[in-house]
Amino acid sequence: MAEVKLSEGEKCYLIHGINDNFRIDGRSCWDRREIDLEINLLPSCVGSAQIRSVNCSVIAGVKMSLVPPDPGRPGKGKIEFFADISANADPLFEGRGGQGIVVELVSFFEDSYKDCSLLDCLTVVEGKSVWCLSIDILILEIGSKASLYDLCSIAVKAALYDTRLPKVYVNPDTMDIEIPDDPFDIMRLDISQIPVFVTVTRIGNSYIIDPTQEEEASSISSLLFSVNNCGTLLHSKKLGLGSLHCDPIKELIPKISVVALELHDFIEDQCKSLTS
Amino acid sequence: MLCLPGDTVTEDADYMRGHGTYYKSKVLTSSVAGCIDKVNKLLSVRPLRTRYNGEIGDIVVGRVIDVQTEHKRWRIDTSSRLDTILLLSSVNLPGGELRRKTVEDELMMKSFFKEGDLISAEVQSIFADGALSVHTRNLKYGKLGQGVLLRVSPSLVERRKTHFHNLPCGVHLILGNNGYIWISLPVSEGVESGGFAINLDPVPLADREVISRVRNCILALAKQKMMLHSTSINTCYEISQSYQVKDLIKSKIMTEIAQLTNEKMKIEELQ
Amino acid sequence: MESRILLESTSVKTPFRIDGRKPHEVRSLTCRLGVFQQADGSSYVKLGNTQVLATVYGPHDTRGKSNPEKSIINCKFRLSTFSKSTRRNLHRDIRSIEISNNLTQVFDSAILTELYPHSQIDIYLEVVQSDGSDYAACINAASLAIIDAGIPIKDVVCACSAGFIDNQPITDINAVEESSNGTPILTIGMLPKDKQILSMESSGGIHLDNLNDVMDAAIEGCKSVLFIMKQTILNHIQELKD
Repeated sequence: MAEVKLSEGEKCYLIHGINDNFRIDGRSCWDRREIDLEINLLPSCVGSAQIRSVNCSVIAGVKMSLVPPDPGRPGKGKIEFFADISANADPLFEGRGGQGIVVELVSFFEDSYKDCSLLDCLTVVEGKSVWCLSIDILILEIGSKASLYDLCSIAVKAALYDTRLPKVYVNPDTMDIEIPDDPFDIMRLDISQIPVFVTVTRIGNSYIIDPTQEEEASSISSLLFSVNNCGTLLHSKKLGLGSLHCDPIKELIPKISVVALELHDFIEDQCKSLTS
Repeated sequence: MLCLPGDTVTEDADYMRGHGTYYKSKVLTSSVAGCIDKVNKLLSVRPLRTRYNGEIGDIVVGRVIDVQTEHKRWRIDTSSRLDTILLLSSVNLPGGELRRKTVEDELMMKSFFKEGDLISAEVQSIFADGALSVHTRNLKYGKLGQGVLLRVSPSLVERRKTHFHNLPCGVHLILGNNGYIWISLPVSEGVESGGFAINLDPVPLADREVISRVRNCILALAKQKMMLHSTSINTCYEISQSYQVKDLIKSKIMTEIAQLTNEKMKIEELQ
Repeated sequence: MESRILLESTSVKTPFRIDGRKPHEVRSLTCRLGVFQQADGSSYVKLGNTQVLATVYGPHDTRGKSNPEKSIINCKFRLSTFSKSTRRNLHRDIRSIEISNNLTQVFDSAILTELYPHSQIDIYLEVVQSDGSDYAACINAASLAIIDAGIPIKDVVCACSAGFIDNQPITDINAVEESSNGTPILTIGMLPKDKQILSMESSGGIHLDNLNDVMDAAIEGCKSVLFIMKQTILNHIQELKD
């Protein structure tokens, strides 16, 4: 995703188009590009998903382990996030080149999953042992950063949908934990409460979603919202440089919840059709 | 005829070695996967996709990477193997007249073309290491104003007599040999883009729709690896009319309109 | 623990391997070209459960030192964090650096680098799933990505691994066979037309008397792999025909 630098003429053409609600590729401000979702593709993980949208591609993989819980939260499981940008995306990311984006992304996820209801169903023996899910996000190709964040959240949610944890039996006398070998004796996670990210980008006098690289290059700034399926905001952050006036942001709020719910429905529909 | 790397192209020693071939113990062998092109005694293999191999006289569209005042030149990105050079002595200065470049002009270089600017130009010469040198000493070349840039594989743009087209749908198109394609509104007579001032007035919505439709059509054709020229683009544009512009970025519809274009062009060729 | 990796079948003379293959059988191979939009060339190779993504950027201007005689080749190999059953940390491990260096040497010799002075070609390999023979899969993936990028190369470089278990040479080693102690593994990467070996690397003890057979097994494997790779490329460039 080599930084694109646009000429004055291109920028001007692009911004005027957005003010007319007609983007370069014909979309209106609130249209998203096609999303391709695939689940259960990594045999080495308990859950996995790959998502592609034009020139953006992300794989998420879930691994699990049994760990003692945090002393302060004896009844809650743990979720760890790791992200990584492959040099496949751009030579710029060779070595530790993608660290900036990765750190930002991981902190979005950690903040929005902090009090997720999912953590409650990961308890095995309260105070003694809980599941820890390690979620790896591998970024293979990047279009614009703003749509990358949205897509990563979809990939993670779909990977969690795909996650199969072995059922655990606890011996009530000895409190020993037994994990049966049967690959069909599994437990699935309730993903309905898991948030998705909606990133809106300010260009000219409007906000848009799912910007292209060129659009991102002419943007003022972006806002990221993490919203669950009940319409609760779990985390928000302003991204990048530039400043935004507060009144248009307030007008955005109803639209954000519509877009987020659409995404939740999309993931659920896709995952269901992929598993049936 | 298709061949793969390592395949023998010919054992006949009369032929000359072109792009995409090498001599393996005196036998002309292919070094890329593609089809064999024969021009008189010159044999070359044309791959599906490659970086741009410039030739003198090619029309290119490029983006200024940086201004090197100390070397009196601009570095231009044309998707070539090495960065392309535009020398200060190879541009027409504002006003258009040919005159000696002065020290003031050197200091003003950034105001002519700056980083990020798009230009159209012609390949003037090729340096020993393969880097291209371009010039804009013609009124039709120079800075590009409002419009949309597309990047496709250079192999999809054939070398033709003209690369500047005014399409019947009312769009001006520059098909750069380097695979960079510029779509804009037609430039009115006399104010060709060779000028340095660009018009920043908003483009009417109706014109935007046409430009976006052409853009999406070109992308659909490129995705199916179809050659891009005014005929294929016009045909595809007409076929695409049954869809809304924003639907033309859906992969199913892209494939459909490209295939219909292919069929229609084959029929027209037969007639 | 299972000590014998080869399972003697009762009815047939030839033994079967842990995954049901015959000794000289290569796992199923799927290849695709042009999987990414932004790179100059890209490919996806699935060998059994080993999955590799390769991209090629270039030839482009170098960022730093350049060679006036030829193009610089820069290969980077990486195992993703979830590639194996236990999660791995992305610390710089010596093995990955070694494989990167090996790949650089292989493709420095195979690509016609002298055509591109002052330039650089980047080849990136990401092992998404690792189930044995990662190095061989990477050579194949890189070779396809280079061909997709239209970069001149002497031949379709192909590679395969072979091992020696219970007095029997076996082709294309999977992860279980790889991890059972004492299995020697030999990986050969070659220019098939001239039978030139570009890379030969072995680990584990093979008696020199058996080396011949193991090499033959690997070379036979290369041939099967090459057949599928060539088919994939031909399908991909079919559009050029008309």
